[in-house]
Amino acid sequence: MRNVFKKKAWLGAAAVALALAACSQADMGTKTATTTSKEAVASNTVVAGGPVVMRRLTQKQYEQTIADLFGKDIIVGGPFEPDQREAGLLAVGAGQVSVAASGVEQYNKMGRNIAAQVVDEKNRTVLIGCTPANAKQPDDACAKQFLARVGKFLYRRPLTDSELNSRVAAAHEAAKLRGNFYLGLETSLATLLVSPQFLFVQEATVTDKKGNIRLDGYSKASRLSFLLWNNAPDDELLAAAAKGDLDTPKGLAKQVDRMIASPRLEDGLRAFFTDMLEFDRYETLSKDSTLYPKFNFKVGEEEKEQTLRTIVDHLITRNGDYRDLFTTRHTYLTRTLAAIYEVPLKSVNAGWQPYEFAPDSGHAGILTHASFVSLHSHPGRTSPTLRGKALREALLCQRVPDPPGNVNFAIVQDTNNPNFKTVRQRLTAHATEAMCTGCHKIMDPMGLALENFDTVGGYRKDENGTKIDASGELDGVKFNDAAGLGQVLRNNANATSCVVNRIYSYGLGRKPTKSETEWLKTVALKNFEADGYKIPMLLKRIATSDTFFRVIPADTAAPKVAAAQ
Amino acid sequence: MVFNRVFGRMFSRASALSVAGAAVALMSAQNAGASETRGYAVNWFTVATIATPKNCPKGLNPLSDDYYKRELKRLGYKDAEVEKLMKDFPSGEYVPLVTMRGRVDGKPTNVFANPWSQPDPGLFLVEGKDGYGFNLDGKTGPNDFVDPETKETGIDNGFWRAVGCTHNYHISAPEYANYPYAQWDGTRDTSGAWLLEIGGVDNWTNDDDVTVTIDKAIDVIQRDANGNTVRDMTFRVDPSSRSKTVVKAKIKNGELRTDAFNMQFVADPGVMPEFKLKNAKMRLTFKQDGSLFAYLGGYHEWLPIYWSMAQGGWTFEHSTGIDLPAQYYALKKLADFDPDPKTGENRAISGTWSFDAVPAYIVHPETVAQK
Repeated sequence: MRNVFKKKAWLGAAAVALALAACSQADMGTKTATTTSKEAVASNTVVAGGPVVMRRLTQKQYEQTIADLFGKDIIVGGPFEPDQREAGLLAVGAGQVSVAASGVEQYNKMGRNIAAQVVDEKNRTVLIGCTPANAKQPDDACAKQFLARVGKFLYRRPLTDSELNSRVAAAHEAAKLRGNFYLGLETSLATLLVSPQFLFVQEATVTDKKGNIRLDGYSKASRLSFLLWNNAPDDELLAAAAKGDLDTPKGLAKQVDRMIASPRLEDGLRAFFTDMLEFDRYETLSKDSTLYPKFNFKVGEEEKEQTLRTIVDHLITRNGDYRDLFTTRHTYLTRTLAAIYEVPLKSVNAGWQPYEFAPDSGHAGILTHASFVSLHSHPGRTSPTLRGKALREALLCQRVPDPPGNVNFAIVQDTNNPNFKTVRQRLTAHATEAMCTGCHKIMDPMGLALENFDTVGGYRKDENGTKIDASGELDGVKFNDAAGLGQVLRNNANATSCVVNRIYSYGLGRKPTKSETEWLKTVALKNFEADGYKIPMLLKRIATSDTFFRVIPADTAAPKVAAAQ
Repeated sequence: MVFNRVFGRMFSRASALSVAGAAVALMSAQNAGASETRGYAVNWFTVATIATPKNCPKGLNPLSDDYYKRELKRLGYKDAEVEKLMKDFPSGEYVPLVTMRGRVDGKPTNVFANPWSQPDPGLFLVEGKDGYGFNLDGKTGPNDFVDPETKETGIDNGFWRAVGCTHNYHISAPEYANYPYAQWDGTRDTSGAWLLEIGGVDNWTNDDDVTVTIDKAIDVIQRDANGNTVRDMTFRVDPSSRSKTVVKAKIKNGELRTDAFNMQFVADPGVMPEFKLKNAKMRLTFKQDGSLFAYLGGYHEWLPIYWSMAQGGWTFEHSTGIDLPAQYYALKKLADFDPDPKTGENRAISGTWSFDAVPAYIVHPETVAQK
């Protein structure tokens, strides 16, 4: 009997693999075999590398940099240039976008506004750090001191002599024209804030003693910092880069350990999972208020926050197994979210409260969070297809193609058809059309397992008076409900290979090269397993690996850094 | 479908417990499989109104523009002067004149604070028989109404007789009378939620021994996308007993009726500090979507009702059209309960309010006795 089941499961998996292959090519292959070995693999067993990337700062990274440098009271404003998702991540898209003319105007406006706030009378004493000899005249010494310090954090490296001198000269000229040292400094700072060196993370390379091309220290620092903290390097990291510490295994490990131990790791993980789970789509998410009046923009923000808090708690605070995110009943709720889930909050404390869903609640894992089911639903009805597609693409790194343009959705959209009371019935009827069958087979069986959750995440037992059948299968493994789906997903090898791939891509700002993919499969993934699927350890393995900084030959050269810095 | 969905999970909304014992009590209630408690948070609370032609044969009472002219003329102003003053609104002499239109010893007096300083202009009162409520005194008299839903006679609702022919209150459900609507609209966003628990229920269609508890929450309601109270939210009960009322009730054919009870509720200090009913009764019905609709009748001191209106002064008069001194005299005249031992004048007036409430989780801290 057991063998029969295994055979069926294998056949199912094979069928799905074929279907996926027909639809698209997965990022890391359709099925990554995991090793049974629990021993770590040396990171240098596979030599890998890829090209450098010039990434545009995301809105969050821009805001974090300004907040760290000048304080949270400085108003950044916006709007920012729209992001673009590539290979499942905005971080990868950031390496493929530029700034439109309107965007330059906007960045210029923001930069001038920020600079004006920095030199404002109420802020200048603290933020500038020196006082001019005469506030009505240029003071090159004070300007140089300020611009060198600020420029280092904005450019994520010390300014070159040429860069610094030109900025000091700009401050000098503007102060003369405007008759005010601070207004001169404001003008010069604004030029720093709109410069490509700030708005884009630009990586530079050097050739080491062995003849290998790798990132220079400051570029390493940026890669580390944006991967682990989603922020520009801090003073200590830049100092380590300057001293060459990041070029030695010991020095690199010291910095990585420090960064992983920092509370800022939470910012990094939040940013990564916000990207991976496509939470940016909440910006435009809406629901039919007649059918689902509980939902509004604030609820959407809380849905997102619930999942991020759960992830941070599980992966950092509890140092839990990544795979258990798909099964854990531990989470955090507000009164508003508790109303969505129709559960009472017993704590008398207001705000976010730890909460554990009851074993028979139907809620288990982040797939059953309102964020996932709400984000991947239509405004007025659920969509097993969208949910299944999201699961394939975001969590298994398998791309599902868009439907053809001439699909007839009439049956699926008619929720009042007495012959098809449930989504399962409607989809079954719809999927009999030959052109739809192939792709629906790889999405619907998982999505239907989430049918107990309505468009905003509320639990339901039936639809139009008919009991919901939440059974399904994933790659040939069957389950009865959402909790079963979570368990199957937890044990799916693609789920773990996917997060490894995504984190690596996120850190690089591009898709891994063929050699890097091989390294991920044969080294990173095996080590992830050996480490008990702990994300902080995965980050450490990647961040301290030679592969993460190895670069294929390019013309990029490191800028000559000012000797005075 | 909705019925099943809501009620399928409603059981877990049961609560009648302290915070410390919440989980245990919930489990034992479920395991016992016996009586059930459901919690609700009030959504809209308003005066029960019904607008029928028979109720107001003389028409509706004049609006402020008309009765201000009337009062200014009474005070000796010529027609031309009145027209000029009215054009000035709301600046110039107009506001102080209408505010100080009372007279005490011939001197201008704030008529809102001293409504007796103006002669009773006479308000058109409800003359028909249509009025919601209860037979509170057990008698049937000439001033009593017939409830349009239950057809019960002897309905005591003096407040409705006093306000039912004003433009503001002359309206029928599902529309709300404008002034109580506005009052509630502000109150529920700033005050703790009004809670209702119905407990000890074995059968939601027929049960002759259930308990209704009225409470106030520490937590304020939140509004959904349609402006209604969000369903299924958790509320903590005010640990003091100053807003708690417990009364026995019976459910018959799906309608719940309470025994007579007295209630006090700490309401909105900006509207009416206390809502206190004597010899009150309540009846309610359960709706398919899990919510309920209720009528609450009883005797309330009439002077606080007047003050809740009068604190708005001329802006109240202008926005609602209600002539405050006239309203004062009407309430005083129609008061029908609790005679003052010294003067013999009744201090309370019968009235009926209606409200709907949505499912809610209610958490009880240890009750702290009111000192």
